[in-house]
Amino acid sequence: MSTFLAGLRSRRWLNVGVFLLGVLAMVVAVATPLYARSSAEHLLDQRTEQRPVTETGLSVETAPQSPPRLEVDPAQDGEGNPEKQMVPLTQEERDQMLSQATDLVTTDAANTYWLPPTTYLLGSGEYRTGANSYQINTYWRDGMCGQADVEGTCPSAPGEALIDPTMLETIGGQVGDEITVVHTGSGGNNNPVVDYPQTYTIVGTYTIDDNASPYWFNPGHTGGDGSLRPPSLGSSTPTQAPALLVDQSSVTFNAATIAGADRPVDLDALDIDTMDDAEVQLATWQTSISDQGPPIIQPDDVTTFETLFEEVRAEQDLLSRVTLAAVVPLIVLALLLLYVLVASASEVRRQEVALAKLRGFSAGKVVRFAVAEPAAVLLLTVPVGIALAVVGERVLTGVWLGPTPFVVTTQAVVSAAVVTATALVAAFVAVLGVVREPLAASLSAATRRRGTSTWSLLAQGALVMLSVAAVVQILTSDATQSSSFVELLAPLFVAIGASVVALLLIGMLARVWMRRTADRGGLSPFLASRRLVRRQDLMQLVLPLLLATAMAAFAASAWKVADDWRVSKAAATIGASTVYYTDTAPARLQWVTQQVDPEGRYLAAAVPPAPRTVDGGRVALVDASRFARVAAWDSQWGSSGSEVQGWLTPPGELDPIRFSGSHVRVELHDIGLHGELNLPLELWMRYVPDSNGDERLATLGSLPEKGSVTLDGFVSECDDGCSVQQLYLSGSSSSVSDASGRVTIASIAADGDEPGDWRLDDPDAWRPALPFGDSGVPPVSIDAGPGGLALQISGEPVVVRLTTADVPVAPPIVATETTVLDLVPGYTADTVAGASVNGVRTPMELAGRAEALPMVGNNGGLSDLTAALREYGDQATNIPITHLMVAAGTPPSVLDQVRKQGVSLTVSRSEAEELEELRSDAFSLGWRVFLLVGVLTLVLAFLGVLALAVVQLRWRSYEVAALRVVGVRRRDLRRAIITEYVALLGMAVVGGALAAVASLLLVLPSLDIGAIGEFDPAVDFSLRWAVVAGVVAVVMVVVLGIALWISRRTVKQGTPATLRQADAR
Amino acid sequence: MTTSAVAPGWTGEASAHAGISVRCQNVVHIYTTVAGHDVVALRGVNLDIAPGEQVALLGPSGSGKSTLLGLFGGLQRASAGQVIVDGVDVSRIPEAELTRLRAGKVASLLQGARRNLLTYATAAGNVSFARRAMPAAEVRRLPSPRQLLEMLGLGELTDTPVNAMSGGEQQRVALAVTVSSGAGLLLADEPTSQLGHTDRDTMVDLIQRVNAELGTTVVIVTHDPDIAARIPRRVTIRNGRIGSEGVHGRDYAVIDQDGAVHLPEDWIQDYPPGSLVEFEETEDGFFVRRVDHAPGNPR
Repeated sequence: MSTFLAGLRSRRWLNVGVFLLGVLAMVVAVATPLYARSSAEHLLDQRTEQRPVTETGLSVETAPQSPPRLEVDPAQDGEGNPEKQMVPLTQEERDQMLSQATDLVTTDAANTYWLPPTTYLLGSGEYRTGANSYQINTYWRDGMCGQADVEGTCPSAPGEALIDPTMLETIGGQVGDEITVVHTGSGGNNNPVVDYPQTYTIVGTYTIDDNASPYWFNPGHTGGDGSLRPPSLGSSTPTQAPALLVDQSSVTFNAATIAGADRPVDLDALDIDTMDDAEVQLATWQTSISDQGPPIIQPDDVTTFETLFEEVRAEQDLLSRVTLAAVVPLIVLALLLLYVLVASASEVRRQEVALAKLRGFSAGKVVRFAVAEPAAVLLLTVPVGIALAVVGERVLTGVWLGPTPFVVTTQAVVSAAVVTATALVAAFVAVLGVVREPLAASLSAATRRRGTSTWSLLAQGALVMLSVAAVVQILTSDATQSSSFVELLAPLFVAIGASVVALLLIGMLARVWMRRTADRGGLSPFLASRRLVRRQDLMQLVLPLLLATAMAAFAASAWKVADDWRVSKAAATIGASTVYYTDTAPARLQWVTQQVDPEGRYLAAAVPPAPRTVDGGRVALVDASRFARVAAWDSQWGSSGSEVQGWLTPPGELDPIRFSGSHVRVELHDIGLHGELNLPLELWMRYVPDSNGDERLATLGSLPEKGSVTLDGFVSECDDGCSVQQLYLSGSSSSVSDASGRVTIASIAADGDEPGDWRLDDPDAWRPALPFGDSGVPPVSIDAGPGGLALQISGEPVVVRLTTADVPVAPPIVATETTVLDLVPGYTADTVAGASVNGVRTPMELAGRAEALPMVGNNGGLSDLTAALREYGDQATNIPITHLMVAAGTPPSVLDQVRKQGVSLTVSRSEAEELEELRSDAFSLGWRVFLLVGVLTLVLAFLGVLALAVVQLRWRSYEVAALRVVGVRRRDLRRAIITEYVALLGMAVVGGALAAVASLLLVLPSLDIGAIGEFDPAVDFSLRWAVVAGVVAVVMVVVLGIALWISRRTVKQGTPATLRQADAR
Repeated sequence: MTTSAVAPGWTGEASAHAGISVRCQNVVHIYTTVAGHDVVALRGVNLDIAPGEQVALLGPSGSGKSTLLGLFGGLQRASAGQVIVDGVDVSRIPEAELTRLRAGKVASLLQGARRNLLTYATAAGNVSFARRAMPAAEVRRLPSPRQLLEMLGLGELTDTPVNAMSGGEQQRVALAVTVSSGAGLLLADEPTSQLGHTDRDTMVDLIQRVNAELGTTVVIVTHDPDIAARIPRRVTIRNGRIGSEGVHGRDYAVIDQDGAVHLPEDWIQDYPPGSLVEFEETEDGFFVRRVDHAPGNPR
């Protein structure tokens, strides 16, 4: 044993090299499946968290068990027809309701995977102020004051309440004031519906960071708009005000109070291994409550984990494949280097093995003697590698993914076993060459170059064929993108194929080089080329270094491509640094942005494309005047934000007619109208007050069939000024009319300080506004002159719209390259069928194209919101969601001002959040592993080059000494070594870069780099030259560094004394 | 170090195999060079070495003496002819049998001490290593490494790593390690090269002591005439053939199977290749006379 240990010690650097390689291979082999598992756990947690708590948690609600109870007010008892009032819920009844709800969510099935229940009491009523009424909840939730940011005191007595601070400010109240909530309930047979007001004393305000968090569970219980904006025009749903948080004893309305209990899913208990059981437990619990009749309120939607778990399993599967494909090249490389190193070590021990044979060791004993040392070192790598893998995985997971449970997976165990066995086999094969050598050859000082065996040629041919077959299979595959294991391994195949070809090429080139340098050229190149031809020791590094360079360049480029795409997707999906989703009308929102941010640096209003539209129908509307500064723009989309802003901006300045006052007076002459439906015509005006930006519609009056008339219509909120959007001529109640004939608008004037320049005599000032009727022909022709605006109406059933001509009839559209746009006949050659608000199709002038655009991704277009609202503003009342785009670096005060204008800014999404989520998907995590493995591959290759250089130092210094004896200068020798290294390894690096480029061009486009949605920007697969060049530069610098160091060391050691020592040996 | 380095107590018990005989019959050996050319190293060698005999193989470089030693040790196999060691033709036996032969009966001391040793191990470690191929029972009959080294006067080097020894010490330890298996035939290739006079003499003394004490047959390849002079039998090989033998101070030419006779070394320059001689038989043998030119030959 002491002799064995002495041997280990004497070759410590070599053994350290083998040990490090073995450890690295083991770390990667074990850590990767562990990381894949942790990533899957992380994905499970993340995907679960991304679902609303209500979809993954358990909740039941129950109503009072007895019907609403009324009693006569004792004060009115006996006075004719006394009013009845609701009998308040007793504490006992409340406790009974809460207890029942709690019992239903605390069954055995529910206790495993869900957090302890939280109970609540919820009442619903109305808060009335002025003419407006708002829905409001009175809410008690167990422990609520500890979970909310409370200013004031927590309600602890009947009639005490906490209020949302914005609402308190809106209603102009303060702590100590009273607020009344009106409950509505049965009033008996004669009075079916009666109000039951209940007054609360405000004892403080509360703010909830996230009312969709696991504690608050159901955001609908607390959420509401504290600014109490009136409901939108045409909306039948009353606005929801934020809930009042009250003491349990205050929830007394027995007709509609609900008691509930909910349990968010317990992410600590739920993991990949327990998903199936959780699904079973969920079904069991649902079955247990399904037969519960009234007063249990059965949930409308059945909670299910099915789609969630399916998604997670799919991602887990993908992650496993990607990480495995990423790690295989590294393990292959580690084993290759291990083989090279052990083979070198065997060469060093050649004399010892010969000695063993000389001393009569049997064949088995010789093999055991030769293998014992590398095997011992490799076996030592197993515990160390596994320990480091676990630590590394925990650290990496902690940094990248956060806390995840540690699970020893079967894959990790199998992987460790496979790597251990393969490493031992590699070591065995490596020493076999020396062991099988005849004794006489082993004892000779010279090493004979072994010829290429048939098996080696066959193996090389098979590798090349395998590489070609894999690439051809990918190229001829019908699938556009895939993540099959073979395809993920294709870069490795390409690199191996390139390595074999490179080895053949290098051999040929070296011989040509030697012939050339023998005839002419310096001594150093000759020595370098001669050594390349005669000694093949460095050749062993070509394959690992080429492989490492190829894999690292491929991994880095692929990761960059994938990440660039994610950045692009995040920018396209969100559209700006941050976007708030609000129900504020587009015109109003745009007005708010212009008021709060007049310079257009921070805010812009936008309307997303209408749902279920594609191509020309899929157009997002943005405030073009501030697009470049506020909207997101990715350089991969081509052009630039400023250029697109230029394209989007309508030609000429939009110059609406402005006026002020409370009445608008219109003189109509030369009326000659006839029709069968909806006569008389009415004249309407759509306008926007300067004071609030809300679109208004005013009826100016009805037109007679003949003659003249002066109409006088009331306009609201125009004392400080209004701007005109459109004039309509319609049937009654703004319906279509088939009236035909003529009418002249002789004059229009408002009664305020600014009567308005209505441009009735300007032939270019007015035009028919879209949409036209079925014929597509304008239903009115306009002839302006000194007598006014003479209109000739065609009689097609339509609302006749007039707008000022500063709004182009075909506003500019910027579309993506892949958007299919239909030409619109009758317009210019660039006029295409686009879409305005709510997806209404309208002619647009194609101003430019880009690869992708914010809000629409790779399909659809952008157009100007202002022009769209002027043309189709009346359609905008149906838009459910409007976007407030917020630029990066917007001060919070700007957003505060927006809130003060009544815009609800509660739901938002930032580009960074989107990107973070995209970067945490299975694809991204997998490609991140690819990148990490690429870096490790390089490190491994550097270690291999360095280790082999150290191993070769001994006999290289002998060669150098021999050359120095015959008079070769040290400088020439150093140059020769550097030239040899740089020439050979440089070719390997270049070969690796070429293999990477081939993989990037041929293979990468067929690999999945992410979950690409229908409208996501296309992936830019163009070569990232900077990345490839960076990898090549790093490798070359390191190789050069090693070459410089080894040349100095070799020449320093290669003295004539070295020859004497060698002779002595 | 002097001859007294051999401990007086060292007896034949340390040898598992008494002296072994060697016999060569028409041994031919051909090498194939890297370039693929055949080079004849031995051209029909006939040689008998008796058990316990000491033989020095001499000859110029490339004459084939080391090749012959290699054939004795089973390091190579003869291309033709027989190499019979202890009654066994080592050119024909299976590799396993040859391995067993090397493990016990035949010990080879290679040129260069370090080539015979694990340089990182101690002297005792090397002895143990050399015995590892032997059956345990045989090893038990041998003196322990420490005893062996002490017997050879190398006791103070027992626990010294080879790397820390001088050249002479390494060579003596190498010899000790080589004979540690108790072999009956010691084949030593240039055992005194690179040694100073004192170490050289000590080494030869040691070899002769091994021969004398254990009856081990010793075959030494050497260039050194002083060493050769101390070996009772000297066999000179020239151009792959046994040229002459010197026994107890007298040199004899050897007639090979073709009837060829090598001239003594000193005469060769007077008889360049192509010289004509004629033999005349006398009462004591042959008389060789140089002829300037044959009758009828114009030279």
